[in-house]
Amino acid sequence: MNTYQHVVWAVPVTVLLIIFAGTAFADIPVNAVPELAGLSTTTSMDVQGTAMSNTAMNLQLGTGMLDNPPLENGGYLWVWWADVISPPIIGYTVDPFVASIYLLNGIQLPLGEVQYTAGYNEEVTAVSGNLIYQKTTGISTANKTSGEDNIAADRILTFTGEDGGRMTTGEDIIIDGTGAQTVSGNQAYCPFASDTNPFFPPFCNIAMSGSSADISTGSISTAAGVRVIAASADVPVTETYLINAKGVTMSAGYTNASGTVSAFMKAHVQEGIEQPVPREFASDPLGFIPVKAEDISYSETSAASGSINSFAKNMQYQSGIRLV
Amino acid sequence: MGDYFHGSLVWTIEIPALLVLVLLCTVPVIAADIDISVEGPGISNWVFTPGTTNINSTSIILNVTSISSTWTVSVKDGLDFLKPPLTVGKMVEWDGSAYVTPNPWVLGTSMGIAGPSVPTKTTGASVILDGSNQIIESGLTPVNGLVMPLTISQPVTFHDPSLKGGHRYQVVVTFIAFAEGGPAPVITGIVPAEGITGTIVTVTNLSGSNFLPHSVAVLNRTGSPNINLTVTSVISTKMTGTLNLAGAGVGLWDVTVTNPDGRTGTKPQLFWIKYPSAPAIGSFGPPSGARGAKISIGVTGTGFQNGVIVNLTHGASVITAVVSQVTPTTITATITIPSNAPTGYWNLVVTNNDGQSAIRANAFRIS
Repeated sequence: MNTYQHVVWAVPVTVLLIIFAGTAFADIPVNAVPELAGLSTTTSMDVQGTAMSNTAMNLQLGTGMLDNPPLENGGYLWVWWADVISPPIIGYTVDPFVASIYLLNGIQLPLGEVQYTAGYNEEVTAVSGNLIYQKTTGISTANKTSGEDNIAADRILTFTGEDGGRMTTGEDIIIDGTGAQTVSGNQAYCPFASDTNPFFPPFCNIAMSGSSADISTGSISTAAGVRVIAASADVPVTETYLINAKGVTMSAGYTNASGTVSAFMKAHVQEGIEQPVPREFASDPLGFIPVKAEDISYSETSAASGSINSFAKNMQYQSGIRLV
Repeated sequence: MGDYFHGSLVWTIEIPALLVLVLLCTVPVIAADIDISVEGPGISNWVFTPGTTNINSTSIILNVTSISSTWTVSVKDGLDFLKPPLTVGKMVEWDGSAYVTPNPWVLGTSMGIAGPSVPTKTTGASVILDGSNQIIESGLTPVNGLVMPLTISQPVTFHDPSLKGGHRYQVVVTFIAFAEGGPAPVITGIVPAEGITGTIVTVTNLSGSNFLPHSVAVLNRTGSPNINLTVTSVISTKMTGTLNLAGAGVGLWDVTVTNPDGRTGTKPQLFWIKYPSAPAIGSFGPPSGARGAKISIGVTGTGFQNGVIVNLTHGASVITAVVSQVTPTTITATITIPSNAPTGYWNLVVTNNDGQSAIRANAFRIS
């Protein structure tokens, strides 16, 4: 009997890095709320038979009231004229004279709103086989520095099916950040962050990455993380995801993974810039108007099916005024 | 200049002998009750017969010890020049002249000129050495009345090198007299009609009618010192000159012309004194406000002056801001929006106290 065997000996080993940086195009993390929260779990199982696990984490945080669109722009509204015949132009400024006028009206400088939603989902189902499953997850609303995440999940799954046994698993992590124009002067320690503009421009970015697997034999490790909360804008917003799928070593030796493994990353990045308001006189306040200046759609999927010797993919989305 | 004639009272000093001078009045004069006196050092005696009816052939003989002295020759009362009758209301011009001896000579004379037809207003007089254009004395005080005494009191040293001893020179006393009752000046315009404070403005045409020689013009308004026009020329319908606007207050000024007879003509708010630059608006805020609200507003730009007025206008509706602070480039003010103010966009008007203004349309929205 002819047996058809689809063998993949060389599968993608990919490192994907999406970077957005600079004061003109960048996510601005939110600062932690006064009351911090953190959850973490560790899961370990070695099962012969049937096993399942799922995880869902969601984090939503903003600098203003949640779910109250639209987001408020930072800065004071003001009216300019470029010359004697042009119509008025309304823009934003942090000029001291303008600030003095608004303070007479009891209005403090609006800093601008930023809001983030981050989520993580994972599920595993294994039947008719041996599953060794290790998982650690954590979620924290504290400020994070580079190398730390607000949502983190690490998994190692090794499955050996018997009698047609299979394991399916899916996992994704998402970061959805929107920010109005924000005042840059009080958000970054880096002295160069606001040297050209008193505002960080608005942004509306979403990035999602993850993987799925349907295998009869194989070992899969994944690591997922998101950072959106930081004490200052110096720390970039990040989403990282990596997957490494291999075979297993049994008594007969190393056996390739068998089944289907795929990983993906999708992103839609919309960033703004701050356009200077034309001034007629040098003594007029510096003003800016936020406008959309960038729109990127990104989608990538890698998949392997059959006898898989190795499947690795490392994906990272990083956005901030500085990169790490 | 209307009807006029030149009258003259000419004295001639003859030196027939060292110590005897003869004063000759060479102009026909009808002298009724004439009274002449001569005073000065070195006069031992002098001879004149009062009551002479015609002195053009009469000699006044002086016995003097030196000719380098100052003498006062007074002719008082009752002179009647042979002249045509004057027309009241017209300008007339008179000349007087006398012969004197040349350098060195110190002149001190006083003259009285009177007559039944002499006009009642004079402009003053100047004494010129005829033939040399050398001014001996000028700016003598104008007087009213029929008698116009002229006192040539200052020592005179002749500077004209062409003057020679032993020759006779004529001293011309000129003055202008005006009869009362002439028409008042009328002003119709001025070019230029505006000037910058702190500068000197050349007026090329102060137009009107009935201007007279020696008419004067000023910019005037209540509470401010007058600004004189330094006149360079006058004809009956036009004056020219310069205005020194150093320290002049800005705004509209009246223009007044005064004729030598005292009659005046004024045209209100004819001349505009301005700052060097008009105000200009560069930015404004906040962009909006609600009915009934009292809010602080700010304006940036250039050329703002103390006393600036800030208005928001919408058709015939006006909201006047209370200005609290002004710099050349910023204005801080407060507006109170009436509860019934029209909603929509309002214009911003900034007006300096010199009247120059700037306007920006649709600067403020009332909701």
